[in-house]
Amino acid sequence: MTENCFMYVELHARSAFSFLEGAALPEDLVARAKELGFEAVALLDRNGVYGAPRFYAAAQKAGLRAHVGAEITSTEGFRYSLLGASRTGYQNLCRLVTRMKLRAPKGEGAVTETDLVEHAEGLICLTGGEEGPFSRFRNSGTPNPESRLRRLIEIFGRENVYVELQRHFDRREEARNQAAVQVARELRLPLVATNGVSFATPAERQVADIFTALRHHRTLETAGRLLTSNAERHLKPPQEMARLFADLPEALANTLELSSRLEFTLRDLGYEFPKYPVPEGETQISFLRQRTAEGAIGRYGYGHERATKQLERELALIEKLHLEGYFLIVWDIVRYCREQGILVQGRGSAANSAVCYALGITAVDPVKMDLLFERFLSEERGEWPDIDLDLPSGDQRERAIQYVYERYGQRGAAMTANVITYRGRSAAREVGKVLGFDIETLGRLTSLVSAWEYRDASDTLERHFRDAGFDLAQPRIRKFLDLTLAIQDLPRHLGQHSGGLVICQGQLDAVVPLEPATMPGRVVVQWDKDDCADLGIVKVDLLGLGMMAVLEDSIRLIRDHYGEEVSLAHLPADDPEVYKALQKADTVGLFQVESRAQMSCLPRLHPERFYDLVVEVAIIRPGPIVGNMVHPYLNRRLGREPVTYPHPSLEPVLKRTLGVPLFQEQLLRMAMIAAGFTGGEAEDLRRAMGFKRSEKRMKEIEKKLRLGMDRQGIAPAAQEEIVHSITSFALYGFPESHAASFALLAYASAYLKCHYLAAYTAAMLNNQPMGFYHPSTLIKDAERHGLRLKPIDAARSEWPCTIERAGDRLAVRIGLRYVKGLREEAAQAMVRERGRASFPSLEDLVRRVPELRKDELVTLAEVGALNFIGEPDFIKRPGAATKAGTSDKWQVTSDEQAGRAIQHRHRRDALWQVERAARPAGPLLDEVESRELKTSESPVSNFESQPLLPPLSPHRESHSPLLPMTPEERLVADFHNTGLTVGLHPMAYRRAELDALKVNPASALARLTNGRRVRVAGAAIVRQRPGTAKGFVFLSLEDETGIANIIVTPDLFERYRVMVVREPFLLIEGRLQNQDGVISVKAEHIVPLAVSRAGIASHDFH
Amino acid sequence: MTFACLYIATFPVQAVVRLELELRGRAVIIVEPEPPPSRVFALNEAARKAGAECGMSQVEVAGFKGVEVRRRSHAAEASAHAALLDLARSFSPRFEDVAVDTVVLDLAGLEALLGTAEEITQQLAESARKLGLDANVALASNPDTARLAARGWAGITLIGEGEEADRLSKLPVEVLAPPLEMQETLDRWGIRTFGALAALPAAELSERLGQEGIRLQRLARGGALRALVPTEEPLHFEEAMDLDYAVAEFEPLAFILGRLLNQLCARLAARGRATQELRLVLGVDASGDGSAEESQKLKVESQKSRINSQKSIVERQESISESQKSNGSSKDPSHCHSEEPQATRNLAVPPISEARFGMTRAHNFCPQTAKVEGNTTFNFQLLTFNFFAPRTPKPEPRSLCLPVPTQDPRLLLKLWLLDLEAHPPSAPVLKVAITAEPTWPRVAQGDLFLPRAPDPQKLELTLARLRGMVGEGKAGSPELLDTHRPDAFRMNPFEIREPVAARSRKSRVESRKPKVESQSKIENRNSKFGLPKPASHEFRISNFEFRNRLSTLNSLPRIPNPEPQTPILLRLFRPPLTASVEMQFGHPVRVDSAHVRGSVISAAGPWRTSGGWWTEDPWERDEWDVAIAVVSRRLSVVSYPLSVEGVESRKLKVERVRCYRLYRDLMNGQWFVGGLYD
Repeated sequence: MTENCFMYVELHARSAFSFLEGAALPEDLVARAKELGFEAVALLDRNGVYGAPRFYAAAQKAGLRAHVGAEITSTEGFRYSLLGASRTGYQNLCRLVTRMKLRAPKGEGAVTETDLVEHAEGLICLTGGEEGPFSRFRNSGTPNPESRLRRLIEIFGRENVYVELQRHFDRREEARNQAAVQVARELRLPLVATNGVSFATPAERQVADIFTALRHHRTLETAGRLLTSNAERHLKPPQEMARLFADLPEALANTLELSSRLEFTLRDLGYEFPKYPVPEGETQISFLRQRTAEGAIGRYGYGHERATKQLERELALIEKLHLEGYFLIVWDIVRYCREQGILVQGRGSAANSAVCYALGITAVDPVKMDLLFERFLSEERGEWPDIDLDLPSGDQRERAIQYVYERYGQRGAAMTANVITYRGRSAAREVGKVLGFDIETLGRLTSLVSAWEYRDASDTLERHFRDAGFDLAQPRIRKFLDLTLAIQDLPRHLGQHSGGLVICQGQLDAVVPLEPATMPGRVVVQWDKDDCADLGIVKVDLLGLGMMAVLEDSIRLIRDHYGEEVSLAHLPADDPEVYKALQKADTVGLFQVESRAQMSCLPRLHPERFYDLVVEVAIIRPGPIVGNMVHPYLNRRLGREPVTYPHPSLEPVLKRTLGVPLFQEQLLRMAMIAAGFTGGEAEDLRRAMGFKRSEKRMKEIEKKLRLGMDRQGIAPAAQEEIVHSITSFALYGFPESHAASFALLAYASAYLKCHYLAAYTAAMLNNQPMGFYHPSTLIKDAERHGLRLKPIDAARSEWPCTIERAGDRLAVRIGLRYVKGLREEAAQAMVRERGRASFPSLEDLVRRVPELRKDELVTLAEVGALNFIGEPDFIKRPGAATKAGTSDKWQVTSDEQAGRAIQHRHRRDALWQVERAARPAGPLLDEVESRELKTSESPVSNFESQPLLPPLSPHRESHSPLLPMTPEERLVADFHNTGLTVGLHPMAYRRAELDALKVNPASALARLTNGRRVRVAGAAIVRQRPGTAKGFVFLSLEDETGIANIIVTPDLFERYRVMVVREPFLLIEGRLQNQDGVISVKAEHIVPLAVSRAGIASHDFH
Repeated sequence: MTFACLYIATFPVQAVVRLELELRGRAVIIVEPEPPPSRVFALNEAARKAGAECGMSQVEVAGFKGVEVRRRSHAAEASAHAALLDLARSFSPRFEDVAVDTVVLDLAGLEALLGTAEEITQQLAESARKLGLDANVALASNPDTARLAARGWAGITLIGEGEEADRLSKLPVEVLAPPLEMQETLDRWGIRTFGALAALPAAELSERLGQEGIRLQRLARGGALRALVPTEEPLHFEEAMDLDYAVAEFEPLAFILGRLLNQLCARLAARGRATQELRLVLGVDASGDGSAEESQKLKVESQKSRINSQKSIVERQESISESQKSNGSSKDPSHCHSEEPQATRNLAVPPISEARFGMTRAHNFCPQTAKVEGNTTFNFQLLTFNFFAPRTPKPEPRSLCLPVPTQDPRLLLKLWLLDLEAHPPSAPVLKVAITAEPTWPRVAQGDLFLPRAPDPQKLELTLARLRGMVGEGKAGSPELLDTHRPDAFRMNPFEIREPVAARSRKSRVESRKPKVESQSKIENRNSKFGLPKPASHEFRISNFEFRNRLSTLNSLPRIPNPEPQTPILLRLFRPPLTASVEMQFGHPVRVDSAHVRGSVISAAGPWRTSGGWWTEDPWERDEWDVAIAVVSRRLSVVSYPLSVEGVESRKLKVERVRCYRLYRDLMNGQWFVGGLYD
């Protein structure tokens, strides 16, 4: 590195976080800057500091100084290039951006001069390039552009305005530069050279052009001069900049001078977590201690020595790290939820904390389970702890979020962002669009991008291109592919994280700019949760969990229909029915243990106590699976192999999991014990194993591990085993505390299903989509467990599924929400109207509920929901028959007659009548109909005094000439219009034929011996190709007796790919595997089966 | 009344198989034609049995063994359709072209000619088979029943009068092709067959499905609903002539063209049409013997006699037309042929009626000097005859687009002659065919208040002459392209806009003013839409832009800066001058080209542009604005001493200093002098 290398600092660079205006990631800019020998670089993204944390983090690693600034759009159309010189300047910049963003719709906003005047302190203004104020003043024919620059001097101060020069080999730009030099001389302003960087290397110009075309909704062909005229906006070496500005050396020298003035870095953010308001005379820690002590009594009772000791240890550390406010704030949110009856439970590493348990934030006892507190909070890590709260998805979670907003103010709390990046399909679609490929072609291509989780070596974008019929030998197609790959992972736009909330003492908008989210009432920060974490900003995750909503709904339904009060905190532990169900993998619809892999593990694991469930939840994860830890654990559990430990010192850590590490904590403890890692070092190890895993970092840690183990005198063979255990935990695995939290929910769901099936099933059906199975499978499973499901009925169904009493048992009535295409407002209008008076006829329904469209009526009729309109309870209403005319067949006076009429009504009758009732009369008869309406009036207006039945012409309610639907037609109609049926399973209709084919019902497989050749058949309800299964495909075939599990080898799958993927019903012949209660069929032959035309949905491609 | 219907099932498949006979009997799948051909569009029964379905992707289809996959061919389908119509026409003059795959024939009165109705259906099926099409043939007492039966049943179906409803009752309702919404309703009702639909009470059906429902029901009941709509002869205007002897000279070819155009225009006029687009296909002798020489001869000859002959031929054509009109013979050229003595007939032109059917006789050609109407004499040379070798003409198509529709054969002839001069056929001509796309004639009324625009036809003629002189695509209205690519423009056809009759007088006055947008207006508009300033060939370059950075380095004298307001004009050299440029320290110091030569005394640049990277024609260039001391060839006095270190001083006599634009094509490294600054 020569001395020359430092003669220039790039002070105007945009990253891809300028969203479609920059083509390089902040990290790439830093890497290139480092390569070129810069010692500092400034990032000025458009209207924000979106990329600043990543830029800062990368610069820190590279040993560069990262200056922060932004290009701020003015209401006059140009952009101010502002650099934060001090913390005040940065805070002003954030506030400026927040102000402009929050007063405009999402994605828009501009600052006025007044805004600038108010927030100018600590900011340095460059006059910018093509889009800067000087260029715009000059181009717009402003009579005296100098006077406008004088105004900038007034706003920012003479020493804080620099006349910016950029040289991109452009005539017009050079003319502007000469004018700028002249003006600078006149106004005695310093010159500063920049390169207006939009990409790191010249090659990225193509990406920049793609983005420009996308931004303007053009193709490259039609973008014309909107594109860059050349590829000069890249980071140029200082030497090259020196050559370019040889005539103006002061412009280069000033870059160093200005850089030296920019004192602010993101390290100096000034973030402070809010203090929790405590009663007078209390401190935060004393208040926390009190709340903890109160909670501990409830949780542990008096005199629990271990718990007291642990609590004291934790509280001491909390006090030392000044985190008491954080715990109190989270406690406050939980308290609010409890008060409001919102189910809430902490998850993640917070479950390792006894304080969290005592405060009611988490539900798992870390003392009892001996969980590692350091995994949650460590003095060495120097970062905030992470508490995630699970809330019922939907409105309840929103209420909790709004509570936080209200409590800390709109500028004191905001959601974290979620940066949406270009991925396979979206990248191909966007690039194809600007290259001029037609939409249909792109649709075909993107539809080919695999949705399987498993991707074999050939499952690449290249292959998808070939499959879509693209010839990669063609340069244009090749370019398409290259560019698609080039824009992968570049930011596309900013979304909102599902639940991450950041809270700040004072004004959050001085720490990071805030902007409106798409969702009304939401405010989002410009950084994602990792950025926030990296900069030490505390985040509370309020996550929506479908199962929480199910549990909450179940509890309500149990209260209403069973007359029992169930509390999740007081469920009977070790309920035998629950464990019986778990042991035989009867887990359809249960939380976390319903997947195919879980089901095949459960009979082997044979859970008998809660901790087994914790293991079960944690073991079927990519980490243990890839690390080959599942089979050793199960074998040891079944006594098929001895329990051994890599080193005797690890026995205390691994004893509970039979010598096999399954949880993150165990790996960390192994590192701490075997290699002498400190808690902080262990946390580094966890991060290295995390999602953003770096090979290089892993190598470094492995080296450190080995050194540590050498020091501890661990033998090479044991070292190898330990290193293998740790490093093979390559993918994500659960922390024990998290698994325990989830296991609690799994247990609760199993308990409710076993004991309150109707309530649980209704709640599950009302919270779809969630879980692993489609509603049709859930229904059939519930039926097999003895629950009666009732069909959709316009005379009885509510919008959600409800519980009805059927004799001495409870039954679930399918809700109107399952009628596809039926809008909720129309359904609710019908329910409302029905509540006021029953519908005596379809005509009456059509007239009184005008919200219902014809297609909705037709669908209702097709699923049989209108079969019971006008049934006896209405007809028997006192006086009804006498008030109505005598010609209508519904105006019967005896139950017998009414019963006969109802008996004769079938779906096609309703369809026939709906077609007439919903058909507009046309202009000729409009008047006649309206006269009829006036005379009949709605019975709602004056229920008792008005005639209840309109004077209908006899033919309108007559029987139809149509034949009733056949069972097959009903099945097709049910599945087509509701996705489920409460009638017989389609396979049941074909059982006799299947018996003739010697097809075994799913329920019979358990009775057959291992290795026997069998035939099974059913509807394919799940098709899986997991990423960890080496190309194996797992099918679940459902028949009327249960679900048969099929294993398809990769070779067989390749042979029958189309059939496996497309056919709804399959007959499979293969070898039965019946081991340890796990039953599956290894397929050898696959045949499509023509059972029904019913479109049974399959949950595919997990 | 008896009607027969021919229906070609899986028409797209049969259309392709018809041209690839080896595919007969095999499973064939037709996929969409546009790349990527990923979806199955049509398939035959064999392919269906193999498991394929419409809508499958090509990837899925690839899994089926023994299935042939072809792209959909519109040409093959058009050809199959034409064959189907020809077949119908050959049986009955009264037929209806119902759909691309369906034709209905009225068989009334054909019994005496072709046998019984049953025999006719057999013959129809057999004839279709000979055309490579497997047709379903149905016979019924009304056209719709015949059509439905043919669509519903394979092979031959005979339905007697009175038994329509009964016979049709088992057909699925899809055969009726009801509107999609109605199809869905019927499906929901469980109405799957004609019989079920026919059985519904008509009044209640009408209440639910309206008149369309009733219509379908009547069809399902086999009731006659309509009369046959005979297919009209399409508006197809084509005149063609097969020549027994190859024409190798311009004059006779022109004469043939004239005759064909006369006929074509007369036919257009008779149908109240004009044409705006013509296609000429010259079938040239593909045998190759002496073709090049003949072509050259044709070309040279055509060049020689271009002006005179065009004029004379056109005049002669006019006189022929006139004479035909006067003696009433134009309606029947063959009649003219029979009356006129052989030697005095219109030279080598066969009668049109014969020519159309390829019946031209050799003796119609009269290779001798002849005197024709209008007293214009042509010298015709002997043509090459070859009586024995049958020749297959190779088509050479040309097309002609006009700005306005016309029926004027004279104009058309002139245009074609100009076109043929510019693009003479590659070999002697064996066949001439002209096709005119019919359109409505132009109706225009002059405007009292507007200056008269040039006659569009004359203008087109002038442009055609210009094109002939300067080359194709080099005459018209230039349009600058929105791109950074320097000097990018395209030539658009020159158009004259029709005056708008309703335009107010004020607007007419406004319209006379030259429409020049002010620069600021354009810039404002562009900046509003985020566009940069428009490029122009007339660059306004301020003195700042012309500042010489090289001069700051090497102390060269500066070019006197023009006033900032003074525009500098750039004259582009077309084509640019290839140059050799000597560089020192990355700057040009000397330029050598055919017309510009000298030392660079001052230079600004490089101005770099690049783009089109996604195309097959990317560009990247560095431009320099240079002041060159243009020297005389005699080296003598030093005018501007070069003092750059390392640069050799030269003694040159400077005649004048001029500013040029140099550029280097970075794709190949070649230097050019692009233009001169005035």
